Amino acid sequence: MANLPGFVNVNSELSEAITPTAVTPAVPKARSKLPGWSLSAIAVAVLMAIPLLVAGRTPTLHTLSVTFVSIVLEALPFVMLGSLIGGLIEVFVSRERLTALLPRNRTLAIMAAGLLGLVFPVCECAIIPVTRRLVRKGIPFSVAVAYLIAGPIVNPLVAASTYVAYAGDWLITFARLGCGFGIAVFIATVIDEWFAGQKALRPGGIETLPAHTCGPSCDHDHTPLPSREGLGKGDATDHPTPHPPVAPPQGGTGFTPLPLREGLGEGDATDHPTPHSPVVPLRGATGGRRTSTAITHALEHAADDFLHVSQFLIIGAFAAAASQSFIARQAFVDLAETPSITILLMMAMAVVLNLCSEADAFVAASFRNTLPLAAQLAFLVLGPMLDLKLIAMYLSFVRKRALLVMIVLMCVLVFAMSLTLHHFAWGGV
Amino acid sequence: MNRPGYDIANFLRILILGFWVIAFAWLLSANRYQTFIQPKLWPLLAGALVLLILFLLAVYFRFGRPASHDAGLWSRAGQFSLLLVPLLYMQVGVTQGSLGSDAFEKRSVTGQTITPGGKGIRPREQVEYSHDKTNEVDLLRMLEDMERLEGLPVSVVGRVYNDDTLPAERYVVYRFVITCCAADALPVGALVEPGTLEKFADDEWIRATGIMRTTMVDGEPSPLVMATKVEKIDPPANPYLSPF
Repeated sequence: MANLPGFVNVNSELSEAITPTAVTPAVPKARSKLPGWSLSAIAVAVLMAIPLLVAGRTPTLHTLSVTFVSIVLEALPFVMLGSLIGGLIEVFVSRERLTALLPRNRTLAIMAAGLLGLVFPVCECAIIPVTRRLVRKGIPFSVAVAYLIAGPIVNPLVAASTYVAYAGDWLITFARLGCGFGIAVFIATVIDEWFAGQKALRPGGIETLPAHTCGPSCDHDHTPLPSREGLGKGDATDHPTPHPPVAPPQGGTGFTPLPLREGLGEGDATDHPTPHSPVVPLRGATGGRRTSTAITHALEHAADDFLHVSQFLIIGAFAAAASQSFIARQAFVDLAETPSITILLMMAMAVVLNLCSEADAFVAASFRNTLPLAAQLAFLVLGPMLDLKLIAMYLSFVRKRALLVMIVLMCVLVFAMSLTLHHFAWGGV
Repeated sequence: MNRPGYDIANFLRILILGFWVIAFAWLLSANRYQTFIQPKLWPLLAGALVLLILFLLAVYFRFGRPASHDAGLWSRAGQFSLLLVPLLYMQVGVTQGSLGSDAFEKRSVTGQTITPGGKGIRPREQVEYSHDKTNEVDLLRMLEDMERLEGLPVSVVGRVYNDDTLPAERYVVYRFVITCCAADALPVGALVEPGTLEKFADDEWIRATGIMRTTMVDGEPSPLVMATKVEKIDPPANPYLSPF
């Protein structure tokens, strides 16, 4: 199936070049240099462990330990779940089927993605591995951004928690969801305009995510599958590798990871040396065995994604825990002299605290007697789309420039929206 | 050809996942996870443990297969290092227990409203209080029903915080309310004025029994327990309070 009009295929250039005979499997060369990110990761890990060695059993280290581990423990199950969903998508869902679900009109597709959280609710930690896989599967990045930003806000669980935290106040609940949706759609549209195709994607972050494949000595059933409706590739999971990717029939999209190996994603791509067909039929020639093999592969992908994304989660969680352990919340409130400053401070607090979008309403609601409602709303809207751990996790697949644009837009839009509501809708309350 | 680097890299990955499987099992046994996470969320950790085991098995059964290129030994070493760090801090957290007075200081905000007049974060059923016998209440309930408890005999459990800004005969008994995890913990507290000169160190768990009064702190009403008895107790099974 051809790409949707206006949609840019992540691997379109390579796809167009693929023919059954023209492509030789690209076997990556062994790296002789130490990857910069790997050394940085080790160095960061050592730095993070230093307080354990030098601080002894101080109260602040205790606070740091409990807060850091609690953020990690709360987020990891969702990262695992998101990774598992991503792995299943990778193995069982074809690019064509996935893109066919989207409206052909780009704006409608972005808006639909912004509302996807209502039927597919995931928190901000789980959404990142899912989004990486969706983009890897050919969902346009701008559409994925709409889901990435709106998903953790525009979903029924967050609506329910906000409603409960604010004692049944529908105003703040709808304001939160509405603003989250609007900002997500706006940013996604801007990204669509400014960063067409894979320009926003970090080399090595998405393109070299392991495609569904297996090793050269795998003992799977390698019998080519009969043709399958809707799948862009000629065969499924169980190929010996290396082998050439099979050209998509009828101008279908190819599916070859780019051979880029720099950047943060380098480690994971190595485990799946040969790119080829991403999908497995649930009903196939060899039935159950093929499906169970595919599930094993999905778990392998999930494990890779989990290990990859968790690195960034841990760095961000540590930064957040350090902020919570060393900065008193009263300091934020003491600085809140005008509505503008108060909104900015609550935005800063949202970035620093790194709360789950399903729990942050309770913290925001605790400021009802202290801060304007607009400042609480700023906290509620910005937190799920931008915090320290999310910045680190976004960097796992988004270019710095694109991320900077996203961050600036998030902050400016949340601030402007909150200040507008404060002055014109809520009468300065 | 099978490369040694590939095997070591895969081994590191198995090791990381193995460590985390052990860590989750360790946290779930003896409810150690309650230092970090709301007790009602234990199924989340149990589910994560199952997923981790599945990930581990999937990776393990791929172990030893030759790869067509090296598998990023240094990349795995970086992952291994980073994913090891929370495990080190986990041990510290479990050893020292739930959030203490340091977090109480850092997270307390003047005028912060934990309970919105009987509604909001604690939509619980109304409790009938007795005038004749001691009412066992938690700190959240005490804040929630401050007016109704005025003048009644109460007993409350919490940790001690000796606040230098308070009169010498008073101290704070506090706990944290958590919705999901300790990162979203909000402090709640009440003043205690014991009839004796007995002092308690910061973070000691006590049960204060006495008559509930209301006093003003920084312009806000705050519960005050005129204690007739204060006893040191063991930490409760769940150190945190829940809004649900």
